[in-house]
Amino acid sequence: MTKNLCKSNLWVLLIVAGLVGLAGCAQGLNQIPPSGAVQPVAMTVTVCDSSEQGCSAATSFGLGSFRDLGVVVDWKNVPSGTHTQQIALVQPNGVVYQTVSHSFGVADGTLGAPAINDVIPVAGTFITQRSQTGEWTLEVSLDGQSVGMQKFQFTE
Amino acid sequence: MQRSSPYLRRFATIFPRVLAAGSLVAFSYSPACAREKKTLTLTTSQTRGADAQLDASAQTTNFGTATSLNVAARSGTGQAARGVVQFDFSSYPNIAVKQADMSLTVTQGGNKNGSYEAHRVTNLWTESAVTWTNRVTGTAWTAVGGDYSATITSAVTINSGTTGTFTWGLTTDVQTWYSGTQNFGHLLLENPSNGNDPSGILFNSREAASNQPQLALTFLQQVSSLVATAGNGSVTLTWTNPTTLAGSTSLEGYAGVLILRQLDKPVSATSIPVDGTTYSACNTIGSNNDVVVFVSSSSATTFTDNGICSSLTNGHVYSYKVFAVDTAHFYSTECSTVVSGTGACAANASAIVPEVTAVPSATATSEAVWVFNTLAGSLSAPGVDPGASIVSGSNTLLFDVNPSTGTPVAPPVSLGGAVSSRPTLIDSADDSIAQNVAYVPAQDNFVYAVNTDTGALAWLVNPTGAPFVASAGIQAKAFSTSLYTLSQDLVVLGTHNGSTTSGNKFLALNGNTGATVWTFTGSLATPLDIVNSAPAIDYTHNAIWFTSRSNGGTSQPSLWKLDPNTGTVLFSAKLGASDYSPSLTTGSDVLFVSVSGGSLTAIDPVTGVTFGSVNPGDGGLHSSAAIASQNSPYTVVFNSNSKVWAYQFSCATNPCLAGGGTFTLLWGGIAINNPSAPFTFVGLSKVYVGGGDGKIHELDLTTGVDGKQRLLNTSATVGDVGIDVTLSYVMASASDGRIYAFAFPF
Repeated sequence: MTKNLCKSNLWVLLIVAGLVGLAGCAQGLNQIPPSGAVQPVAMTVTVCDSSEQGCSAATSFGLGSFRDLGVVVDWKNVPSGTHTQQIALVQPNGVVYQTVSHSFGVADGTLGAPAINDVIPVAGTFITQRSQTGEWTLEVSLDGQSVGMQKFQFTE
Repeated sequence: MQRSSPYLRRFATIFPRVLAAGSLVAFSYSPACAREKKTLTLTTSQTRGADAQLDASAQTTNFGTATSLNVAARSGTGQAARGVVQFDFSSYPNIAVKQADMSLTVTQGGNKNGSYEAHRVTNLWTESAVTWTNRVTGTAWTAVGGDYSATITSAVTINSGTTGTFTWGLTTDVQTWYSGTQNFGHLLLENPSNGNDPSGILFNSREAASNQPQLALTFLQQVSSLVATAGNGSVTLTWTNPTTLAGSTSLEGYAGVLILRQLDKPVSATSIPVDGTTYSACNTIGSNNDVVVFVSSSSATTFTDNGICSSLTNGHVYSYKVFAVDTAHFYSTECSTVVSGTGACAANASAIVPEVTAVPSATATSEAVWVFNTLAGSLSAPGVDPGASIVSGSNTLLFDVNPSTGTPVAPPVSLGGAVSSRPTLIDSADDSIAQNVAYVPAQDNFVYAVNTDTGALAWLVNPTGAPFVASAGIQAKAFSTSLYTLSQDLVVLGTHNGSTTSGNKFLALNGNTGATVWTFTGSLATPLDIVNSAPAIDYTHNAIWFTSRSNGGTSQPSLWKLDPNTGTVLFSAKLGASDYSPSLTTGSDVLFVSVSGGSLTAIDPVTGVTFGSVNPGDGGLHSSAAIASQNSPYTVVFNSNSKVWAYQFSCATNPCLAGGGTFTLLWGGIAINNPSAPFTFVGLSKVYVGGGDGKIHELDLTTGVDGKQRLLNTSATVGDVGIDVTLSYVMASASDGRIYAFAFPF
């Protein structure tokens, strides 16, 4: 009985963890399996109005006064070596709009926890000129391996 | 004689020559071979090839011209020597890569056995400037010693003291370079078996007299000249089968083609016929359920779809993708060669397979002349050199397309950042750099000059450390008056540094070298916000006009006039923010300025005096004004939130200048869902507008009647159009990641 209960709880945890990983959130924590490291690589992604100080997390941005999209990816437990983070901005129709790659290094013998900041211009691009409103997705990968995503809205 | 710009001059002087839409050409078939194998040798004559050494013990030394390159682990990773190698694929723009193996000739073995790893480089570098610390002049690698993927693409063990030729498998990386990933070559580093390896290996570079780096490439060519012709409930396709390239070794003979069809959306880039598998008509492939409508085991070059598998419904858009296939059933996809089973495929393994669309109808058929997949839906408008080149930036790649056929002229050019605007093209007869060139500002803070014949970078510079969103303008020396005192063309553009509303810059670069000629930084009295549109060149009065945002109101200038010789401000005005380029009449007697969400204002380009303005409502101005008349009254066409309008501006005197003039409505309120900037020019009787309804609309310039449309994709937004007046093609990017070209008038 106890054994079965534990098993059930484990399934619930796995499902919840999977849903978090799939759906993302304003500040979603996502993990990828360790590649030899004791601790799994994890990251939190935050999207914000880049003109605001500190990149306050938000999930909806009105295009009228919006300038640029700030993206902060906080990594944890990244093994030593050179790494490349890629964020892909995906349109509501599922087609990639733009990607931004960012290389960073982690010193030998350490687990890195860098915060990678990127700014994606929005004002004056076709996002504002053609009012590309709807649910956009920010997909994050590390060294070619998908890590997680963050959904947000552009509104009028 | 007044010239507004070399590009517009060509538009105005070349009268459109209309070609019969969908005219068919009879193709003759030549015996051909399918999978081909060709060895590319990296030589110094290849403008898109490069190699160099990155050396931690000579961190600022460039080894771009060295004849041999060192790869060593002298005292751990901190004192390494690494090699970077980039092959030139420019002769192979229209292929599907099945295998790619790099061979290097080692002339000196290491002190210890070592694993020599090839990693994909992840940042742009240039052979003449790359060092251990810098990737291009003045710009450091993010991590010293090169930015590269942590994933080992391929590793080869070379024992101590061993020389000879060694081979690294690079297939997956090379495939992705054709299907959406930037190509910055590979980095070689040593991972010694134990301890350090002070000497490492030496391998011959492309500057060596012999045994230079080589890449053995196995591939299938794509079909070419794919044309669709719509009928009543039918679509006929024709194409040209490839013939073996000179110097290639044939592995199998061609067996024909496989054609996939999809209704009301494109065939998916992830719909991939599996190598080694035979298909029958009406099979479906991929999660998109793309339908196999034709499998040819002959030399056929035509197929008529009369509704095989399911009847064709008139009025709907049908997309077709044509795969070449060989006798071993290898398809022209970016999937690896395997002896049996499914080889690894790139993420968008059929993205570069030729495709086309057609709309069958009982009364009004239509078809795209060609369709080109740019792999991202940034809606960046194509730049056009009529009859010569179509260059489109999409995400971080630049595509050079043959405007007649829609086939790539060269493999994608990899840039360091995304391109948000239309590339500015000028041909060698008109420019001072003496090349056919595209000037491309990007979001990585760089401006690129790209040779449109080869895809090679003529130069690249990072002039301000701030990103660019808008297109550049060119002040061509050849078209300037004696008032212009500089000795070469100017490339002029403004920055988009969104973190400041007052610290942006507008600058002029030497068109030949990219060197900064002058920089305008604004001032306390005239602070400069972000610049989101291309400038206009006033050749008559020797001035550069551009617009900017203005800190959310009218407290800062948003219209600027600069002296091209010095960058001095000649005039500025606080009209309110503008994301749209100013438009100048052919005679430079009126400047039209669109204020975002506001009015269209007519201005005296000499004094800056406002002649008048008009606001049609519906959310105000949402585009630049397209000028369709040579002389007063000037017909100007623009859009508001959801409508297209045409006004006439009548001058009181000729030229206008001090005499001023007035606006009168010609036609207006033509409803188009989420319209793009209207496109027309002097001599054209039509106006072309991309819509949020997936169509390009053709409006009559005199009446505004939205008489005919061309359907691209019912679920796509269509971007700003471009026109090739030599071929009479109108083309536009769409949010489905493709450029569509149509013959005009519709």
